[in-house]
Amino acid sequence: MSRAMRKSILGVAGVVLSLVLWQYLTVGGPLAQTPGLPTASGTFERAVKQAGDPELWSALATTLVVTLAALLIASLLGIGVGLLMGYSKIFSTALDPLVQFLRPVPPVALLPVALLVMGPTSNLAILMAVVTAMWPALVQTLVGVRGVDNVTLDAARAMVLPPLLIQTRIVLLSALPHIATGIRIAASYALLMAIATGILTGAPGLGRSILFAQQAGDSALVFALAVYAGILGLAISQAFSRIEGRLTRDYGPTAEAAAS
Amino acid sequence: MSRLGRVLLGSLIPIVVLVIYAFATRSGLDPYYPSMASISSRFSELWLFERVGSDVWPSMRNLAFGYLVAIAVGVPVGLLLGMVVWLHDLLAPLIDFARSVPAIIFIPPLILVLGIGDVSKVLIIALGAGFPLLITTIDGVRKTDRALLDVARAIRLSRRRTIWNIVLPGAAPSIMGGAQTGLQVGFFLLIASEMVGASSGIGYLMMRAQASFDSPTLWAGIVLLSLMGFVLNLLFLAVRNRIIHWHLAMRAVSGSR
Repeated sequence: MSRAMRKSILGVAGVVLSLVLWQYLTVGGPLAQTPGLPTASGTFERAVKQAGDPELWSALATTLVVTLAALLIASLLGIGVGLLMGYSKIFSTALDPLVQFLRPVPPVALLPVALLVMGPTSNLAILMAVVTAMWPALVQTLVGVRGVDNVTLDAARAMVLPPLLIQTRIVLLSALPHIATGIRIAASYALLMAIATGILTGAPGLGRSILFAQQAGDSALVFALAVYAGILGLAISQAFSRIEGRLTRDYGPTAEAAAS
Repeated sequence: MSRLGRVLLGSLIPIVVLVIYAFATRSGLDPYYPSMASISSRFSELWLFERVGSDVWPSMRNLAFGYLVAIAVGVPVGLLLGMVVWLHDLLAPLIDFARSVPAIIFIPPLILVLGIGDVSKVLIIALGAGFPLLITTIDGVRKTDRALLDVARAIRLSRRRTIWNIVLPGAAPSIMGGAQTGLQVGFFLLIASEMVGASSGIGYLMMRAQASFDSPTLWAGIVLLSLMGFVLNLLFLAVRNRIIHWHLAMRAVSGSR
């Protein structure tokens, strides 16, 4: 049996086993009749039923739009500031202490004030997602620009390439895989915060649906919605991993070695 | 640039922002943006040290417990999954799916099942902080240098010594990356869970203040959480640098990266 086949068979077996375990624990096992803990079959029945509900699709669409809008803004901000700090000594000296201080601050600290000012709106969700997602974009861009291979850079200088060409063709291109990694992480942070804002404030989207289901005590619905959130998260992270993988293959540190 | 010049340049933006804020809010009449004097007096009323015992200390204890559980479960399970290929293949799709579900989603069901007490908070923090640790441990273990493992086998190093002296040190830098992310996620989940359901804690106080338009408390909360996030990260870096000082030294020698 090939390695890939073995892997997928085992993977499917793992999923099935865990579902059986979940069903056993909640039906006849030690966790049966726990208030708030639905059975596996109950959750999936609910998830399937929910698929026919246009409200679910509009909530998913809202969350996706909020996530992508926030990702776009956060990427522009993070990459922009990252490039400025990476290229210019003055910018990096001026901004470094601020970045060091603000990066570990949980963005959720801003949430109550932002909620007070903006109300539970999509814009609030976008704002929260932006302030969360811009950090990985910024940090990875910085790592990419600062990590340019010195030998390559020296060689380019020795060939007296024009500075602009060096910056775009060498520095930016070799930073590209890092920037892609930053965007991938930023995408999952943006989704996290888009949903979190909904749960915490009732801003529109999947988070709000989960909040309402919890307030109604409908635990099967909460779990069913969590399944949809997981599918959305998986889809987003797979899409961006693929882009990242492509860029790393084409421009990453091993690309030249593989090509030669 | 001289050291003094760097310090001056680095403090320029924060000072400008603070001065603009102070100037714009000097009347103290804006309901959303209170004056700095009222923020700082509220900060000292609440957080020096009136409510530290009732609302900061219990939260920090929950964070510490949850984080320790995350390390105690995430790293050993990660080691196991990193070394036993069939077990990894069995659980990989599940882990991929679970890590794609934003951890905050588990707060409502956990509150339904366990109530709003400390247990549900410790569990949610452990869950959220555990995944980055688990994933980076698996990743670090699977990237162990094959040659070193061959050498270990050749000199008949015991399994325990192989893990302790080769696998773990090799994976340590990767694990530390997950530990840092995990700490941030844990801190976020702590505050978020207090905002959803709690009867004490910083997150709870801030959401209550939000409902009653008490903006000085909100801004004082931002200041407190910023300081706490900053200090937590400093503590983490101090511990990390002690544990993987050899790795950092090696990196410094081999140049940038």
